[in-house]
Amino acid sequence: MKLAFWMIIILGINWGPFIYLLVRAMRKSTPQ
Amino acid sequence: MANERRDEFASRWGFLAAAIGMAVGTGNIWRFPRMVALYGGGAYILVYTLALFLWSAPLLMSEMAIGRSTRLGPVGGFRDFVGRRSTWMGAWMVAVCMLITFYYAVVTGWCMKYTFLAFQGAFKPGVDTQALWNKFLYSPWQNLFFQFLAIFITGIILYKGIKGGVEKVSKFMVPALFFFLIVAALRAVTLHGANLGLEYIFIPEWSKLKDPATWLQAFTQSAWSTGAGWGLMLTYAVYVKKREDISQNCFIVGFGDQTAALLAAMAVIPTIFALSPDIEAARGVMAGNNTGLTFISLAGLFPQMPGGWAVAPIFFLAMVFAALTSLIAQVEVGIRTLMDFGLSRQKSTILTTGACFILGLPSALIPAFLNNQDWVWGVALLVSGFFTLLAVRRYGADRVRQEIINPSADIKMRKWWTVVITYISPVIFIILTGWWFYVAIKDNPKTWWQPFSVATAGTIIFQWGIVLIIVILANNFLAKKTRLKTEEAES
Repeated sequence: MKLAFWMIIILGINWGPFIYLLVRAMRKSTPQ
Repeated sequence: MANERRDEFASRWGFLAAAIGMAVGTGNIWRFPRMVALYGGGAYILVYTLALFLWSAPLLMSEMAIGRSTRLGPVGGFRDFVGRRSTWMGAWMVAVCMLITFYYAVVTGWCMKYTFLAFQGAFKPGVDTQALWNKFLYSPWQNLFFQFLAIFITGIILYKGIKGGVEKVSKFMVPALFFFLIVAALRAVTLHGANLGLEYIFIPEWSKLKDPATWLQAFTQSAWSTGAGWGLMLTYAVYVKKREDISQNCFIVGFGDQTAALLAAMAVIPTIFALSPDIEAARGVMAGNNTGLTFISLAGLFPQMPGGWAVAPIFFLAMVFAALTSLIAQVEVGIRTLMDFGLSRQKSTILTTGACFILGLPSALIPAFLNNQDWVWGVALLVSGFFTLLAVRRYGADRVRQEIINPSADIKMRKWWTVVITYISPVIFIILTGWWFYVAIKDNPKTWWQPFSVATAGTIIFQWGIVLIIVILANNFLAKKTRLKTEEAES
């Protein structure tokens, strides 16, 4: 239980922003 | 110039793939897992994440701001961003990056050799991986061959340019690298006894936060791993679109680097803890060194793992892709510098890769020389980062934020960015560099001053001194020789 809790916290604060920012970036093209 | 102007990243994804590939290197796979296990698991990772905000991400943004606005590599970038008298700082950055590249090509060669061995099925139960590694390490011809192979492949890719070479390759290699790491991690966490390894990674050992080494190792690892201060982001930024987002891209690179590092930790640590004879043996592997962990311990443990015959090639191929995408970015720093002197990409590629091969020979042939270079120039990267901070401070940190970063940013940087760049990052530099010197002197109280030892403070001072004298003396020559930002590049 303790392991699952910390896995969610640690992976959440690292993988979460990566996936969120990457998806957000891919949906928006760079203006020329 | 017209051709050069056209040679830029065709898509944002292409640039991001190249930049993530630049950041994710062998250090993510063979150093980060060891640091996590040694310095408090989750507690270390939390400090490591803090380091992204206080050192790595602001530095990556600063580098990208210099490269995107000047359209020149580090030498011309520092000249045009700060002033002619600071050209030497850019030259220092290039010199340090290239001096690392000379031995990093050898390391990439090691990964290639082990990928071949894995595909050949050389890691069988009972194989003496220590003897296998020693036989390879002290075989000059094999080292030379794989060093050459690594540089040759890198040269071919860079010869084709950014759009036709770097972008195409990165768009394939970086997703493949993440896929391989996910496969290796899934296999590792489903091993019987993997839980213990996962606890080492994720459950914070809060008492470790009282140990200064935890903080210093986390910040140093972040600085090395993200590529902040290397000049790599600065160089890739020369090829981005004029309004390419700086802040968002740099955070994607930083978090992407951490994502890969965590995947690698989940692939490596549970494997070590599940398959080692006992916990003490597993701890011993973690306290050892990078090459010991990868080429001796893991290579020896894969045969004991159900499905290890498939995981070993996948793991080592992931290492090759991680190393190669970083090597490409490093060699490009040298190529961009020569192109700024007016040479064509083709000539610059041949000259830079030729220099990498010849000047990398001592590292390929003498393992102690490679260790010395890793020691000296790893710490020098912190100095390169500090020079970047100085450049931004001289230009005006708030000006960089408001005039260069924010106008094209999806996520605007607030005042905290200026505060970090102006006050916090320089203090971090002083503490980190001071700590490395303190440790070097404390560990060798009688011999720390020796300039010709492998890992002393003396060898750092001696070699940094030589490079500093050369770049300072060459300042005016380099400032004059590097082309001016042309009207076309500005448009």
